[in-house]
Amino acid sequence: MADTNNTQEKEVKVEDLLRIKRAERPNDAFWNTFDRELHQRMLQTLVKKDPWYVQVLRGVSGRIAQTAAVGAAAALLAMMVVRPAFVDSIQPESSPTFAQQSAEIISSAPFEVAMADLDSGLDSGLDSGLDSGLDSGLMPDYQIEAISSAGVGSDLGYTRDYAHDTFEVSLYDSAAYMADTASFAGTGLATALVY
Amino acid sequence: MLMDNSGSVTKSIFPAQEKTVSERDLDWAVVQKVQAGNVGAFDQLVQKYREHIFSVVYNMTSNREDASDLAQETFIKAFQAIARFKGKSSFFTWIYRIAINTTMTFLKKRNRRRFISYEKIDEEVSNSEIFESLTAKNRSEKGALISELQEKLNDALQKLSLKHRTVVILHEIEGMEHAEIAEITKVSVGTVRSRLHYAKQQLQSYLQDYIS
Repeated sequence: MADTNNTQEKEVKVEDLLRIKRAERPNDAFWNTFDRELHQRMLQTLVKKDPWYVQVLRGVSGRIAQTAAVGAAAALLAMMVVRPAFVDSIQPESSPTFAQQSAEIISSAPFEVAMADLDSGLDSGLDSGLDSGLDSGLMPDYQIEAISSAGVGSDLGYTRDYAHDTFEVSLYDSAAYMADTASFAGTGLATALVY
Repeated sequence: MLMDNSGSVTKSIFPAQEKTVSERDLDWAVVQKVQAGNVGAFDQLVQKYREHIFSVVYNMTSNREDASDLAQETFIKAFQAIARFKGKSSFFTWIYRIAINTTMTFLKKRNRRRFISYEKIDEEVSNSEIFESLTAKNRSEKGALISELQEKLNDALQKLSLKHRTVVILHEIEGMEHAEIAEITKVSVGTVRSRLHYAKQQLQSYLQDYIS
């Protein structure tokens, strides 16, 4: 009796009522029918042909995708074959190699300076001595080596921000004297040392 | 979630939650068999989950015929898509998601048309403390009370919005945890709690005659 009273006094909550729903279960006959129908539907799904419009759509989309894939592959192949040849054909004109640039610089840089041109920078004593030697029909038994940076900066693509210096060294076979000339184009000064 | 002696995680309280972490692996092994071409292995998954799936769909629709169709449709969809199932979530979560999405789509199309057909309540439950208490309180015959309560419960659930109904069915009837519901319905745990709270409030007002 006490148990009955306790049961009757039990508080009922929403959760308790909802759990009653768990007891709403189908019987075994229902599950037999369920399984049979499900297997039939699954088999139908496996063998079922798509509607005509789905087949057409799939065919069209498949063909488009196939065409796009072939096109992309062809474009890639063309780029791999054509581009290296194209690059080789335009490279010497558009961007000369370092060796080519160097060759140009070397061929243009050593410029010979006539001794007469040195006159302007030499003082009168030295000037007269040199002239007398040349004018007397002596063979020029000297070589002139010139180290110059003239025109190099612009060819290499950068702006020259220093004064133009030219160093000329004359070596005479006779070793009677040597004339080293240093001219400073930027300043207009020229010095000559005679030994 | 409880940890047993073997170290595997076991969910407690409700039969629907009698799943261990290794069950996910078991399901995954069966799924891999199906993916490898053993179509018959899919039947193991059907046998394992058909009652849970049917229960969810039935409680969402309150119609046993619709629930049967939708549960079958759920398994067919799962079968068709199983090749794409990568095992990132459990098969359990995945198939519940399919079931709920299928049912929601069906209910949105059905709009206001409602045909109610109930399953019979198990006799064991009719002898439970709850029914004893309700019978005593309402001073009514147990059989009549069961039918009446069943109708009221289904009506009350149908008055809830789909998202609130889903959450309350998964938690209170299927016995899932908030995190699992969040994963299935793809909302945050906070949203699940909020929806559950609101849904219970609504149900409480609809069923106040039976609540002490």
